[in-house]
Amino acid sequence: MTEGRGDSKLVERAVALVAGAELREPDFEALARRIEGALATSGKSEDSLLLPPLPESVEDERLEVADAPAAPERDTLVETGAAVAAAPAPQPEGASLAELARAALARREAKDAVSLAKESLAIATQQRTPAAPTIEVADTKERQRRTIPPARRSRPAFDTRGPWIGVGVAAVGLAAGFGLYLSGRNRTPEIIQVPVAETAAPAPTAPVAAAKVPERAPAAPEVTPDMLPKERRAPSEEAAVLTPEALAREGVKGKSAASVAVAPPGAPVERPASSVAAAGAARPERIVLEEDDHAATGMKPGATPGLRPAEMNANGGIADRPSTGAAQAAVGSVLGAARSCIAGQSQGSSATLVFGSSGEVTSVSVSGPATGTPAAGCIQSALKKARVQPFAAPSFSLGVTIRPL
Amino acid sequence: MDAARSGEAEAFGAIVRRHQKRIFRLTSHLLRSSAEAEDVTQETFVRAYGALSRFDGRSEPFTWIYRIAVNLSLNAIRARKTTRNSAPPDDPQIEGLLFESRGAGTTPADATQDRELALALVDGLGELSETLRTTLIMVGIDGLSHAEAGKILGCPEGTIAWRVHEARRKLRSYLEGRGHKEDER
Repeated sequence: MTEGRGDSKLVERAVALVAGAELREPDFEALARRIEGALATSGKSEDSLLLPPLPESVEDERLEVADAPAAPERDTLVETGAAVAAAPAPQPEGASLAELARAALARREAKDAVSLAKESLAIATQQRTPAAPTIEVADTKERQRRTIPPARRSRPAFDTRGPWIGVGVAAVGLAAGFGLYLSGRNRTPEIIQVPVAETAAPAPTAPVAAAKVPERAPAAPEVTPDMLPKERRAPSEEAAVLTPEALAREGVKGKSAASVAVAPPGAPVERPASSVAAAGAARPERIVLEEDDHAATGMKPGATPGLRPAEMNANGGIADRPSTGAAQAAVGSVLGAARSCIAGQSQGSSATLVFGSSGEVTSVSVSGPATGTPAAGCIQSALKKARVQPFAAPSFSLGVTIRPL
Repeated sequence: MDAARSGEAEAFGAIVRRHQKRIFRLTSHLLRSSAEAEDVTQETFVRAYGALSRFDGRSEPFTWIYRIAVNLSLNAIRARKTTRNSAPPDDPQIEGLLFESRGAGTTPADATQDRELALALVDGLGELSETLRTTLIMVGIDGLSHAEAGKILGCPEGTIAWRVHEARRKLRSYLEGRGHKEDER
């Protein structure tokens, strides 16, 4: 079939020289006698010796590959002659690439009937290779020769699914890792914006509070809206000028009028920020935004005490106070450093930040176990780095619970 | 063969004398060592005698013995711990070539060229894979037909033809790489 295609006169002549060479032969009669003498001691021969020594194998599948121009074969012989390997393979005499391809196809069709069996045999051969002593590989070149030819590697049932499965598993792993990472990062402090009166003790009902008002502030004059700023600048007089009725007229929302009314004259209207933060110490870390008296001082006459942070001033683009998101971001950016100050401690501490209208932290007060320790200074310096956008109010305070890392 | 199977040692001795020369020649080319070839030839007949009861008569006795010889030769080659980069000193092929060159009546230059070419071929055979080398030796050097080689090696004639073709193609590349040209002599 292909007997003459790869032949050359050079090889023919060399083969003829070797075939025609006379070998130094032994004394065959003596050899025969030796053999006859050894027959008596011969045992049963192994079955493996009776099997075909080199049955059609995976290597013979290389015919199709070798005939195809796109699949040049690299063998030890070619590797030895490097110059020859670099040169294009010489075409067999009188055979074009198309003819070679057709011959290969014809061979393949003829083998279709046994291809499945051959494939199974090839796989079985490969699986047996490491354990079978009769097919011990003499050297590395032999091992390379026994590898699956390129055409077989391209068959999807064995080789192409593996890498895709690997890629899929890797992608799932990466996604899971990223999700875990995000979930860890998203543990940002909870920010609850709480008006002062809401963080105080439960407010009694209005009638009860109204009943108490005369006892605490018997001569409270009525307050007009335009008087508020002035009165706020004098906190000691605040209780005297605030009545539930006045607050109701001012449209106080979210605050109990009674909670304000029961406050004694001169007492701060809001609950101290530290106490609010301390109350929340046992809870998960959170930041409590509070209105302080300074913020209240800056209120416009028509402003409502329950103003949400996102609301803007009527005459400008600057918010009265930082928004929830801004406050969260500002504190969150420095909270990690603050937490590291008390790393290893069993209990958390609280801090109150006061932002100036420029957005910078003007003061930080620390309370809790860290008070009086170097950790307090560390926390203060860490929290002072927080920044928010400038706001209209003179100041703005935050209570922060700092839990140890 | 039937007599040999019935246990007659003399009958098997006749088989040995009939086939031993060819078996020795085959093993010499496969093993490239006359001493090893002699040992393997002896072992071949001893093993064949031990397996006579399993000879089913479907093939020629020579084919059957030849297969045992190839198996033993390949086992011997695989058992070698080191690979050979050049022919050993007692290589019967080289000695035979020298003897042939002296008696062939060729010019010294031609004899030298032939000797170098034959040595290069022997080296090239050593670089071939086990399958290609064995098949080419059986067909190209020992003179078996494709059908006979197919029966011994357990594969179709087409496979034998391809192996021979592929071995020759590689050998041509190898010889050209060693400086031998197609139009030499």
